[in-house]
Amino acid sequence: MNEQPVIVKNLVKKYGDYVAVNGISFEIKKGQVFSLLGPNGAGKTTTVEILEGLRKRDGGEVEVLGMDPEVSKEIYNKIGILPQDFTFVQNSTPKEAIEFYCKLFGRKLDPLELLKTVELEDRANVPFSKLSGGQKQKLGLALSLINDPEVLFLDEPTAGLDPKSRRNIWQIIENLKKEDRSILLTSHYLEEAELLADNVAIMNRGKIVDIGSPKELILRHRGKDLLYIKGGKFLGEALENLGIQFKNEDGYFILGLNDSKEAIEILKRIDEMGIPFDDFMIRRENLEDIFLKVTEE
Amino acid sequence: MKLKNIAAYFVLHAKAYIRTRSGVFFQILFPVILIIMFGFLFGSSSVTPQNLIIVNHDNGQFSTQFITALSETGTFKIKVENISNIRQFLDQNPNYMIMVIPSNFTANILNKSKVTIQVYSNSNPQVSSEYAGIINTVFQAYINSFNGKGLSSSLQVYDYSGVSSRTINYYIPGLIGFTIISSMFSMLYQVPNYRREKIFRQFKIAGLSKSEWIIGSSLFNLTFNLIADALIIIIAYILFGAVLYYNPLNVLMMLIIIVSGNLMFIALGALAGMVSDNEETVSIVGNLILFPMMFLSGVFFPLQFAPGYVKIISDFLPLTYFINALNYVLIYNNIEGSLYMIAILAVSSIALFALSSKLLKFES
Repeated sequence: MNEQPVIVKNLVKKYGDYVAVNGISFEIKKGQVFSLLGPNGAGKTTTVEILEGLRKRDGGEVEVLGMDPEVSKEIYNKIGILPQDFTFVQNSTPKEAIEFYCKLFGRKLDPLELLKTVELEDRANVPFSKLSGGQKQKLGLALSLINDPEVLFLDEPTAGLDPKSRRNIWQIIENLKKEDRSILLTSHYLEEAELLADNVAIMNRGKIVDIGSPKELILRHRGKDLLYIKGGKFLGEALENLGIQFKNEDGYFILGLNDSKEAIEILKRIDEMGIPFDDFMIRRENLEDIFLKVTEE
Repeated sequence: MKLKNIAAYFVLHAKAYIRTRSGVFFQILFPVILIIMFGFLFGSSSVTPQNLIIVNHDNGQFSTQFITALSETGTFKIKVENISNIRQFLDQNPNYMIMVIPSNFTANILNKSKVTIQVYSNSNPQVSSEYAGIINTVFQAYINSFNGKGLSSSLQVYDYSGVSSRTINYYIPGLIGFTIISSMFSMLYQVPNYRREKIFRQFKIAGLSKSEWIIGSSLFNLTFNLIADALIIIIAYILFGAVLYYNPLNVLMMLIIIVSGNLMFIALGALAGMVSDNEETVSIVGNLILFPMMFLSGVFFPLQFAPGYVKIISDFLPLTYFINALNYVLIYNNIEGSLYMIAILAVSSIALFALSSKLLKFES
């Protein structure tokens, strides 16, 4: 039993002079969802493809289930791969695709049962070209599960999907996690990583700029909570008179708070001054704010 | 290499392909439509006999035999005469063709030296080239009947009864050639498409090797082409009375030619697909391969009046050997004469097949 199915040490990948991955290191524990976050061109897909044995590295060490993916073809019997923008033979159906994979992997599975796990059973006989983006991704996910993999590499599984399809796939990933599979998930949806990942590495320009659980990252980089008050110009004048610093954005006056009680105090004073305001809310910095902060540094 | 993987890809591709209406149309229905069309246009009637004057400078037995063989095709209305001014005669009689047999015809056959005949015409070049093509094939078949044998014991009148005067016969090898060209095009489009769409990557992940994929594709194309070829021959035979040689040996040789031709064109398509990375390049590369072969392989235009360099080029085109070998086996019943063409087809198909398997990359 491999307790650390994925180990990456000082991984380097260059394309000519361009360093796509610059000495990154991380580990994925058994049953863990590990998310690589980063803007386009950060090096996420290159990293994943090296781990999948589809690209050669220029330096460092990589181990997946105790094997070097660059050397061992055996690895494909134990890992599942959902590539970015999954495509397949256009006129084949999901059922035929599953039967094809089953024959290659020497597995006997009921295609409809497998399609049920990704909620695609009603599209079993529809040609691939006629599936929606979300349905194609679900088929890719189903195919990645045929060999009952211990480790799954999901590269941008929900990119370009509508919110409903995205949530649908999140639910499937949650279920896979419950089955004790280790999952490497790349995404640029921060909400996705925050919801699904046990650990997150934020990549930028080929390097990991921070790594930890979503909570740890938020705590580490968290700034002030923000009070949003919607109101007219009198509200702005009142805040100036009170000596409070603020930003004005989309009709909201945004104020930094030292603690939550301060918000009550400010609202009370505005009310006492007889200044009308339409709406207010307190927003805490989330992973997206942290991500933007970290990748801009 | 695993047979179950090849079979798995065959099944996947065949099921997907049957849903591709345009693919099925071009690979199976289109050649069938063409044979029906040619059959209705030319098949039910015989070739109109062409007036042919033979100027025979040879007094030997072989020239007489050759003239008899030519006359047995039923394609020519033959008169043996001496014409002193060929040009003048043809100017006055444009519907005639003249064939000149040199004085050394018999002697050269006996000495196993090169034998040349000359054909003159002054009519529509396309029509005259059709007839010149028939003279040429009979001549080649006649000369080939002496190959590799002592003349005294192997002297035989070649059986030309199958060299029927039915025009439909001559379209069959070309249309079979058309079906294998469709295989080449299917590979030419599939290789860059699968690479661009990263479908090859899916195959690699699932454990399908390059060789398994190419063999699976070839078997698939071969199966569909054999269906199309069988339909072409059956329709030509039943509806239009095509006269082909159907002896077991001829059928076996035909299968060898079709299998070799398919492998070769599949490999050519795969190789061409490797250098084509988008649809525009695919179209350019496809036409670069297709058009020279269409015009220089003798599919539509006989090459006997073409300049020498065109004939040299045609010797390097695989389709030339494919069409000629089928002509020899199916129409002229000259299996011996077809053997070197079949050998060239088989060797080059294996070489190209190995090369394409080696050079193909599943990764972009």
